[in-house]
Amino acid sequence: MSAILRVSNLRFSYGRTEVLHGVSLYADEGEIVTIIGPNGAGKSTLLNVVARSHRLRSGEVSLGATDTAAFSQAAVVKHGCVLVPEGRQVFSSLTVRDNLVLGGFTDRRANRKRLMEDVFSVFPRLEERSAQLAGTLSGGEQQMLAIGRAIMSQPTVMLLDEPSLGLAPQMTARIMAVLGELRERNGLTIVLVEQNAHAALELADRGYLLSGGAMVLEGTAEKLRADKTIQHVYLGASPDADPVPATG
Amino acid sequence: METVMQLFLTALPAGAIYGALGVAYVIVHRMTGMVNFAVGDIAVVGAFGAVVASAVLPPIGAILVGAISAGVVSVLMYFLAIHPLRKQGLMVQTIVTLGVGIAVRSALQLVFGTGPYQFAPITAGPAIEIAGGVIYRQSIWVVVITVAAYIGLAYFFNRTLTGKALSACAVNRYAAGIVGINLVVMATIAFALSGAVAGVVLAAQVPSSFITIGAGFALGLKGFIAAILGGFHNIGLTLVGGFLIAIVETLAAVSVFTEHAPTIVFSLLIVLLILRPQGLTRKLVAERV
Ligand SMILES: Nc1ncnc2c1ncn2[C@@H]1O[C@H](COP(=O)(O)OP(=O)(O)OP(=O)(O)O)[C@@H](O)[C@H]1O
Ligand SMILES: [Mg+2]
Repeated sequence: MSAILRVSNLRFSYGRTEVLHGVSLYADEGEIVTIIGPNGAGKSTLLNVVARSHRLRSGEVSLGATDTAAFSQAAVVKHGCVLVPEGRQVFSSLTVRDNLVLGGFTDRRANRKRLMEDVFSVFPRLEERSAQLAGTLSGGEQQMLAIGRAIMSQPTVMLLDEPSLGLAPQMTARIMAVLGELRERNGLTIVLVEQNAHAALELADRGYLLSGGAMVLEGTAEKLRADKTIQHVYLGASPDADPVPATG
Repeated sequence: METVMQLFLTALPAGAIYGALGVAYVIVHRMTGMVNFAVGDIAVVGAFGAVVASAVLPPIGAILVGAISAGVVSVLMYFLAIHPLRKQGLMVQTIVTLGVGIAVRSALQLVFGTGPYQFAPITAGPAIEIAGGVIYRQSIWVVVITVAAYIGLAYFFNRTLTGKALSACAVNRYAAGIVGINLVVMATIAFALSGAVAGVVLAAQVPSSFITIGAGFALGLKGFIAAILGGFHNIGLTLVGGFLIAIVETLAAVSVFTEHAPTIVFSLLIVLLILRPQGLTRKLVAERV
């Protein structure tokens, strides 16, 4: 099977500081792939380059058979790859409904009403709150909205950046369950960046460990769960364990 | 002694112009977060576009040409002066608009000289008397065109996908990009609309008084106050704000302070900025992220 998303040898710098040193990854259709790693590893940067919030300067990103080198941000969304960014980034002074409507911005002919009903069936809470300003939603509700907004673009690949950030365990479990559901129902491919390695490796098929701007480990979720470094640093009982980057 | 009705009828078209200029500020600010101080001079471009077009077109057509020319100049300004400075931040962009205003004024002066210009009103005939006050027929047109522009803009921002996308850019540029909204396209639309609104209303006003090159700066400042009254966000309240400014100005002009009317209006601006930075709106809109 050929990958629906493939990133090859991606490099990225902020000014003169290179923070991604030739990163590669792939995701097959319907797969859930997780990227874990310490703070500052470059996880968000990686997703932002794939979604073209940051410019792609060196390396390749392809969606299916299409190289996205010449793609604008809108073109990436049109091609079915959407980002659910770190910190939700909802349109805080617009209503929930308008946030969702804007999620479908790139496809004017889409049946937005039907799509919105889809979102409401996944997150009934959003329907109750549809007239409320997004900025007044709780953290968990905002995360639902960020995911709902992404669904509105009818994606084939969804990139999620730490959706569990700041959420209670129950809400985290809820979000993870929804991601699993979306994969089952829509055949969605998911790339999930998570600090919560436990939840992520439970859900994912495969995973990568990104550290210091390079992929230092990859494999099936079982393999990663069994890995000594990961067990020690990311799954360890001690929550304030020092996130030493793995080597090799 | 002026009647209350006359005060109202005098303030109404003036307020419509200040309000429309205020709306021109708000549209650009909503999308970009910057303040476009060239709005007044761009409105004057619209007025002169109409003056030129009036040689061959009926007044209504001339006013339309005025709207289009102001919109075009506004978009040109965006691409030549604002977009190239996108990395320098809002403050630099805002200051540059002051320079653009001066440049536009100088260019107009080169072409037209300083003399006042005028063209024929849409509907000919004497001023109309309403309950003890009089108002020019053309002034009624100014108000009608302003209200029509308001209805059109309210529909655009609240009901259309593009209008919502435009607001979304100001709320959260990063997220706007994420959902696939093209910021350059949206800015182009915002500058075009802003210029057109300012241009059409000032062009419509030309037949009822006249237009001079230098009118832009003072008009622009009054529009700026109106925009502050609208919280730099709310289009309806900006129009109300424009009307309030016109009332204050008209009152000052008929009082013993005749010569100081502009001073009074601008002092009001300072007091307002101190007392109510949120204008007539209930609260300051959340800052852009
Ligand atoms: N806008 C920026 N300008 C300069 N440096 C940046 C910028 N954004 C991120 N960086 C740097 O790039 C590196 C990678 O940051 P990134 O946000 O991608 O990490 P991350 O893995 O997502 O971390 P976290 O888990 O904390 O979200 C960090 O060293 C960070 O300081
Ligand atoms: Mg991050």
